[in-house]
Amino acid sequence: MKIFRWQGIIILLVLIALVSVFFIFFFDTLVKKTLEKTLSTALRRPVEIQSFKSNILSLKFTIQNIQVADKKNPYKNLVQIKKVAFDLSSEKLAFKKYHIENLSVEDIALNTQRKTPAFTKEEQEEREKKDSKKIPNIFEKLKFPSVEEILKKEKLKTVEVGKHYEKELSYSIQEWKTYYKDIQKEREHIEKLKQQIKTLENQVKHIKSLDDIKKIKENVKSLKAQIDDRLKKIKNLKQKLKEDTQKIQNAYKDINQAYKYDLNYLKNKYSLDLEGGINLAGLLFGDTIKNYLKKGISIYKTISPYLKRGEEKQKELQEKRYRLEGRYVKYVEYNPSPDFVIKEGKLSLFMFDSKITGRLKNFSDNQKIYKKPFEIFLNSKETKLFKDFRFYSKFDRTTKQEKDNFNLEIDNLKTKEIVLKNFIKFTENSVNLRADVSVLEEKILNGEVKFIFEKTKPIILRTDSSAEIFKQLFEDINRFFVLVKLGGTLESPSFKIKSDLDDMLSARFKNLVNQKIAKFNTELQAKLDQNRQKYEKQIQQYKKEFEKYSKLISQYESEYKQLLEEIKRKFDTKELQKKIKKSILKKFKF
Amino acid sequence: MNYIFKLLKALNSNQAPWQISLAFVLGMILGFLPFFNFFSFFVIVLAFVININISMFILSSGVFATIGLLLDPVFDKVGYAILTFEPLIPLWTFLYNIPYVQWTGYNNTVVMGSLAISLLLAVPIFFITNRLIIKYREKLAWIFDRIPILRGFKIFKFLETFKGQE
Repeated sequence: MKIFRWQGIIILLVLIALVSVFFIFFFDTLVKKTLEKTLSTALRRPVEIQSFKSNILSLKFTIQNIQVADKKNPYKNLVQIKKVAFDLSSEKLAFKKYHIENLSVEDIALNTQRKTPAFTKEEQEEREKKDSKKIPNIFEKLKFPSVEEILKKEKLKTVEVGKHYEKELSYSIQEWKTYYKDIQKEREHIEKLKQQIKTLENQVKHIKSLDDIKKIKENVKSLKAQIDDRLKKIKNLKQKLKEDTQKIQNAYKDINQAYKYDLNYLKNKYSLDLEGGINLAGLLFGDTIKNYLKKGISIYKTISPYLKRGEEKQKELQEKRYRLEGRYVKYVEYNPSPDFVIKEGKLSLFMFDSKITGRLKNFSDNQKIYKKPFEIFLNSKETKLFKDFRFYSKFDRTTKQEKDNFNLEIDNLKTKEIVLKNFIKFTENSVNLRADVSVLEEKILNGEVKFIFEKTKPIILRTDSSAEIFKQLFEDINRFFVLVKLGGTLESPSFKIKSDLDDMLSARFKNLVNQKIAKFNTELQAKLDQNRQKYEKQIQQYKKEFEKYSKLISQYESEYKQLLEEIKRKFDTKELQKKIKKSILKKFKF
Repeated sequence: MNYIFKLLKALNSNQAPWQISLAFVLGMILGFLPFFNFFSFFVIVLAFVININISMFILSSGVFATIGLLLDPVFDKVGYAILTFEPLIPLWTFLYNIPYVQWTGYNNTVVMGSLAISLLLAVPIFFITNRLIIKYREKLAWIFDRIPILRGFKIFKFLETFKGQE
């Protein structure tokens, strides 16, 4: 019996031949599909490849037109690469290591637009409207409410005090009107008293007996009592008048104080506190910078895992196990080298509508072994868009403390217009950009980015009532800088925006506001004056009334006093006694 | 099915029990191993070159591939234990540093585990199968000759392959 089956060998050879033919014809397509799938999974975005061509013998590969779509926007490509070509080292491939000797990446374009728009026009307008609403909050300060509105809305102390005194004094005036009727009767009393005095005088002339004297004396006493009674009444009225006059003085004083209080209170309430100035630069550039920062961090996070330290990667491999795939155990290498290396690479990309060329050096997935940091250089000569462009990035994981650096310098970057929040656009800009950012231990973010805007022309896009104010604020501003200081961690990055635009605008803003305040204060004072004068006029009326009463009372008081003097003088008891003595003696004279 | 029976009959005339047993064992090894693998390729080459029963090899590999799916965690654990077994590490390290050896996937836990288990089972299973075939030919083969109605069922045509040439 035969142990070996020769026909089996033939069948096997035929099978091998068929598989080889299949690979020759379909290998590239298979790899293309696998690459698309793997890259889509790794980048978590749809990835399309136009074609993949390989030359197995020379280990040269070419990939045409790679499109990495933006996962949030299916109508936009995050990255598009025209061509990627590379060759693998056969020596390293024998050890299952992928070392690319030369890499060429042609025409990388970021954020390329797709033919169909991502949002409908309505959605776009709605978003712009929302953005536009965010701006005016600070400038609402400039919109003072009218003085009339304020006086209607606010509870004024002047009115409160004025009304109080108006009520109180009107009550007093009513009382005095009753008193006045009584006072007017004093004339009659005085006339009556005068008549009585005359009668008494006649009686005195015709005194005949002691009884007459006694009678006169009683009458005089009665007269005196009457006058004293009237004087007492007048005194009470005078006291009341004094109190009411005092009320008027108090009313003047209190209304004045209330007016001053109202003026200060309303000025403070409706005027501006400008001590803090305004952080307009932060408000305008904040969102844009936040978006760029987010994008930058997202790109960094995509690249960073491929540069993981050797030990970490090994540990991950040991722990990660996929069903039916198993784990690959690694052993000490006699000549250690990273699993993946790109020694040298040339690349070109489209950015700012210009072609930028560059090169990369020493990309490896284990810098600890490779002992060389990964470096990227990009630069461009003068183009229509900018004078100079330089970018340098270094991912250094060779030392204990991992440090990644990013430096970017762009001179005279000409941008047609920069629209911010649908509120303002800076046109015909020439921007100088300086960025120096570092990431420590793949976590801590540090650095600053400075934009220097030159020859810019700001145009206000608002059309509402405050547009004029904004135009005045931004007038003639053609040079300013925006400095962004980065900090925090990659998970929660923070940034502070500083700009001389704020200082410039603050000064102009203060000036504008001061003018507004002055106008507002004058109007407010005039309106409050009107209020005060209204109450003062009323009080003045009361004062006149009281003066009239006072004059009358004083007159009657004086007349009563005169009458009293007259009585005292004319009906003095001693004089009367002398008179009686004389008359008696005359009668008994012999 | 019919095609498979014809193919099997054509390939398996005049076969000794060892040819069927070895086919069964090689099928088991192929079934347990992950498919795209150097060792799998090697087993297929052996199956074609050695004069074994191909139908049994295919059938066995199909059955054991299904069982292999269920045993995947066991292969992983066993493979990891072997690959990290201290006394063997110098050997694995030596192999690791030989060009192209890593492409065999020997350092993969499932490959090593399934290979080790299937090789361990290969010898006893070979002898047990061999014994069973001999016993079958001695005790049960006459049933197919004497009961004509059974000959009508195609499934028994397949079983006939176990009888061999008298």
